[in-house]
Amino acid sequence: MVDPSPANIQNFTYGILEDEYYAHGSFEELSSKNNAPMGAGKLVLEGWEPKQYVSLVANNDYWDAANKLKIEGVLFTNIEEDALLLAALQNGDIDFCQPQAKAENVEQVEAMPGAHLVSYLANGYTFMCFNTTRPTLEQKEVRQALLYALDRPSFLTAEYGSDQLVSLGMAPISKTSWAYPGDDALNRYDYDLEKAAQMLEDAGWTDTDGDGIRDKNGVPLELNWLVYHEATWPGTLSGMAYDSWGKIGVKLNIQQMDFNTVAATTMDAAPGEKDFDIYTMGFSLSIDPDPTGGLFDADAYSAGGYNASGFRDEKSQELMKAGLTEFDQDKRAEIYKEWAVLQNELVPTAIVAYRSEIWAVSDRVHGLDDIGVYTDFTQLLQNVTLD
Amino acid sequence: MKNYIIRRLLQIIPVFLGILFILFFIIDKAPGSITSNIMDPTMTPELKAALQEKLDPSLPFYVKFFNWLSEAMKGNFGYSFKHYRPVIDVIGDNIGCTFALSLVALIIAMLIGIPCGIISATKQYSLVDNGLTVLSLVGLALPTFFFGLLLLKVLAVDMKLFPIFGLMNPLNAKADFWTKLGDQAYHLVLPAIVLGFAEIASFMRYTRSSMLEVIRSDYIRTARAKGLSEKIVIYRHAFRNAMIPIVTLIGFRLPGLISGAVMTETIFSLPGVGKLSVEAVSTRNYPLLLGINAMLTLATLFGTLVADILYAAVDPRIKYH
Repeated sequence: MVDPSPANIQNFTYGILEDEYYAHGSFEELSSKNNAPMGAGKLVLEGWEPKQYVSLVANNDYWDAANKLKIEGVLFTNIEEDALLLAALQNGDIDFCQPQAKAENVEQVEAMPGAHLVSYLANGYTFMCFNTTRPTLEQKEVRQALLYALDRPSFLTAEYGSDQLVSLGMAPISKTSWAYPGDDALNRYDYDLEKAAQMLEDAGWTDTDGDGIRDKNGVPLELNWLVYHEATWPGTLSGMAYDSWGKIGVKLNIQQMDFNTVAATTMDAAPGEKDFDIYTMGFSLSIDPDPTGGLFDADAYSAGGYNASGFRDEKSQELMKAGLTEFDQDKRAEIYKEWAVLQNELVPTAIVAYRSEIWAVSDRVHGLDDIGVYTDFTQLLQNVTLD
Repeated sequence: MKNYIIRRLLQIIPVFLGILFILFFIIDKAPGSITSNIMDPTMTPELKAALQEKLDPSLPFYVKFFNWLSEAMKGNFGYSFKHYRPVIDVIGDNIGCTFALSLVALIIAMLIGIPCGIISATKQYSLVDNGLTVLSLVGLALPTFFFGLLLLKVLAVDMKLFPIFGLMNPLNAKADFWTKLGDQAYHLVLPAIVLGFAEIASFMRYTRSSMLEVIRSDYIRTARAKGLSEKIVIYRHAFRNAMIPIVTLIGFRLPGLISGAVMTETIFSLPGVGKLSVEAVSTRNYPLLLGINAMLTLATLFGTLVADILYAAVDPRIKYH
């Protein structure tokens, strides 16, 4: 953090600590501090059992007397099964929780006496990354055609059960951000198989050998999609792509593996050894829209870097740099909007969806209803009272 | 017998090392790494590589194997970077719950399964036998997660007889030892039933077939011919002999006491070894994974030894030299 940058302020995520908490000689020494936290916050760690509970009590010596907690403290418990979260809430074992944002959970909370729902669009997205170093995916027209041939609205309904809980992915800026260009400025890639087929045709991909798969210069349009099993949505999306892409002469192979293997194959592998055509994942974003070092930064195409697409566009790189030297937020917003529109057109990595988050809160708890995309519940605790 | 045990104990050493060596090889060849899961924009590739080198140096696997072994012999099983604590401590946090859960489940399974097996065998092809057979097949076929959730729904959520999750009520954290013990036992009732249920079936089937075999043997016919009452024939003559294979079965079940049950632990949110090892795999937490596997390997080897010794103890026809 040597150069002045408007994004630097986001790096101040820790409070002020005693120097022994960050000056350490070994990993073990640093680690031991994790079990002996220090701080000057509203809550004090009282006790914990691994994977059982963490007990925090109100800090009576909190410096800001007006914002001391009115409740005794907060007790975090561990419930592994999503299906049991809401049962525990209904039973009164817990006062609030964050279940998965799925329609069935929303319906259950709304039907539950004594509890209510808080939901908001989250700051993050799910994406599908194309390996643009492959002859099959180096043309922007092919990537666009694949998007046109994917019925994402149907995918969202199938996966999340409701279009209220999720929003169609457009560009790599969060929809909740001040830098989002607005839906009208972006291409939705509405489902259109005919258009997709025509685009592939125009890009030179035709079925010359009659095997049902398009090819060009002897290379068949056959793609490997890495799908991890820890979440359900990559399986759902790739399954739908298998059907619809098959109709326009694109052969898809879906490769199931665990998350760690997907990350190792796509990000950790050195350029040239990244053995995939498509992979999917979801990211949470920080408040600042700066994409440097991330999925879309050509300089992050390396072993261990986050850009596995191998795509480089000078205009995009310039805009990213410009965003980090401009301190006027309105002007910064314009830069990022231009960048987002550009990425929405080039789609080295396509944004699949913006997802919501939901909270279920007991009616006996007051003061937590303002949980939102930029308001963590911990920031609201001083207002909380109980019936 | 003494010589036999000493020889078997000595045999355990090379077998244990061999298994560990294979484990190291497999883990080393698995794709992915410790740092693959770290997704943080402030984490540059250089930092990531440095961290990787620090946590899991890029050495040939046999070098890692001997390094680990020499440290392990000094009692240092490595460091779980995910938990920021030594492996031994992390396992220690989880083993108690797993052991208590599995032991209670095993006892439930034996107490119900063995008598049911005897009844089934003595009344072969009767309504009771058929009924118990169907029940045991249901027990074997019923998926743990389904049975677990069903019990939770009925007994915990609807009837509120049992807690929904966890090993303890955190509000009891400062209570005295006996209150805490009672609280934990209360929390383990449903998981133990779920875990024991499938085991009941296997104990019952083993006992039944073993009993049937014994009942048909000559010495049982002789016992009956002597005019002994059916009770004495079954419980004194037949049962003792039928128990021989069951005793062996118990020996083989010993490692199960510490291996944990992933499904049951997940459904009931219990801090157990089963779930811990699955997490260790998905985060490529190699030191922890090796620690758990070394412990399990040792338990399996000792379990087999115990089974063999018990076999000799209960069956006078068997003598080891």
